[in-house]
Amino acid sequence: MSEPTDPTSFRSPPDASGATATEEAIDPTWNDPVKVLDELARVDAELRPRRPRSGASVPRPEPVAAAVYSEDPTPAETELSPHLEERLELASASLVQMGAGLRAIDDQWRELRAAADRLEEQMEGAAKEMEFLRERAGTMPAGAAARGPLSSAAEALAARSAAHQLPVDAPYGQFTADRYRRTVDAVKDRRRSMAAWTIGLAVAISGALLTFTYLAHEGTPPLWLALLPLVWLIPVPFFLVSFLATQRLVSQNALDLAGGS
Amino acid sequence: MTYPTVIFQITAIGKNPRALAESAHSVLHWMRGTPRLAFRGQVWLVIEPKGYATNPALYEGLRAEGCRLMVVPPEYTTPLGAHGKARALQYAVEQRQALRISTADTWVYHQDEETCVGEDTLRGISEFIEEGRYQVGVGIILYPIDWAGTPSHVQELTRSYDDYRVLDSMTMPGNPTSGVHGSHILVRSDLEDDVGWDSIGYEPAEDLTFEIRLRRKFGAVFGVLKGFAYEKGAFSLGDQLRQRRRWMHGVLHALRHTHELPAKRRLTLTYSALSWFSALPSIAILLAGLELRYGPLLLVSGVFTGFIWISMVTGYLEGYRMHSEYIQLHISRTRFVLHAIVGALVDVLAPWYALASQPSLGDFIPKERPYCQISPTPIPTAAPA
Repeated sequence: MSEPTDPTSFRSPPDASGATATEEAIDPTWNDPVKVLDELARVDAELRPRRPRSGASVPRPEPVAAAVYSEDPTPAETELSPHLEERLELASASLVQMGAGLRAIDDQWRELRAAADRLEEQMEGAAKEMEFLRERAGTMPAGAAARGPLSSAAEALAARSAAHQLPVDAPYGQFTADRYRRTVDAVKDRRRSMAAWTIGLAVAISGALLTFTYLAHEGTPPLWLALLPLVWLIPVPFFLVSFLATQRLVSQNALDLAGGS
Repeated sequence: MTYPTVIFQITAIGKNPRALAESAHSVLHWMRGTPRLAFRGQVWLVIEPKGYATNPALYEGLRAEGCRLMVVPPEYTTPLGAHGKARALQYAVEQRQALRISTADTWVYHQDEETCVGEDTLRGISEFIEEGRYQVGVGIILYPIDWAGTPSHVQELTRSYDDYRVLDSMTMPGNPTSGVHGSHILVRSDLEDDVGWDSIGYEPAEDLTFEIRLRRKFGAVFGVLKGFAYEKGAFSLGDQLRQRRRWMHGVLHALRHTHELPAKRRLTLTYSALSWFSALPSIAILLAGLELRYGPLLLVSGVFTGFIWISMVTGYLEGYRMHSEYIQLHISRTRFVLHAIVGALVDVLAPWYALASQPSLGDFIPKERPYCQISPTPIPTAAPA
């Protein structure tokens, strides 16, 4: 038995007895608008009572038998539409297809937007690069300047293709010069207060400890025991030098990046 | 004057491929996103075959993106028979020499596998090269990547603030407080390739030996490198302990076996090790003081106690502030203090743990979260170079 090859043809569903009504023939009425409308009305009437409703004010639907089959129903009216399943399947497939199409359009749109952003960013970069090269005109050989920061055409090509692959939300994306400047400036701004607090609190803590020790009036312990606290003095030069080194380096503005972007 | 070339060299085993890829991508990203850079950039990935085997597709992808991938051949040996990272670094030196780019126009920016760069890093490198005053640049490293507020991560914050001391020390003659960095360091290729990284056997702290050699041969060539590098701290206390143990093994190894070490530097290095070792006895003596009576000597030692305590607290506080622009997760003060205490205790234990154990090539510190584990795949018969 051969399957129909005409795309407009389809196999009719089995009838109530389980047999296929028109096994291979094309149903001449399936695309008749009037028939289809009638059929839809019938399907609608059949489905309406089964739809769940919410809210106390909505009257309870009548039983299916009473609503649809109250007037001596004929077999043709009581059976489900022979085309319902196919139509719903077709509609569902169309919906899926439309969804996929929309998603593809959305993806393409995003890609286009990202590409446009990159284009804009690189054009701005190129303008800055030109300005940079003009500033250095005479000090840079033309060949070197034209080649840019990548060492060969192959690398530039690879980097361009890689531009589409680099994740835009990677952590390194936030490592900007502005953040760096803010961080370094904040340390610089705190330098004096940091020094004042360090010295002030150190004096206060040590003063309190010395006062307690003095007031304790403890006797002289054995030598081996008395020497133990000297271990605490070992890192003192290290911490003193660290403190001075940090103060010196911050005060020299040694970490200040020149200019803006 | 020509445009110099900067080689962004990531030297690692390669067993953290995703972290390594992110580092490489950070360079590619900011090279493209930072105009007005006065150098050309290349990315070199120097890894071991067993690292390559963890994710060949990823490494080949990086190659396709323009990175130069170098898998150190298993049969490669250095003249002195170096093992570990020193061997891989020496391999890269020889590659540059073979390519005839060991010149004053080539610079090497050293990265660990998790060292990401930012716009500021590239601008800092550009400025450093343009100024031309020094041949080696060292900068500050932050640890904001994957920061989770764990004790080991809180402890890492102090390292960034301590980097001010490291930078000052490294740029002073003789490096008085023995500061050193193995990553976020920019070296002019002719200097690096002259002294090389070769060493006898396993060198736990190859960067320390390298710095000693550079200083001995070229003198005051160290300058401040502007811009941060961005790394991630050890994920667990165990990793933190092993990492610190390796540092102490490096110091002890340098003191015992590095003959190039000048007497003055040997003294400062010994003192810095002694300071670290003194932390555990200090705590023990402090606790014992609850029972024992130290008597009038406290009038001497107590003078500096306040300063040491405050200096340590400042390290955490300022370290946190330095990271506040970058870390997304903020933890409560109580949790911060508790984690700081736990993290500090691990650092206190580390040098003694180092004394009780042997240096090992297996001190591999994971830099990818556990759920990122990658199943290993077989090593290719012909490792690409």
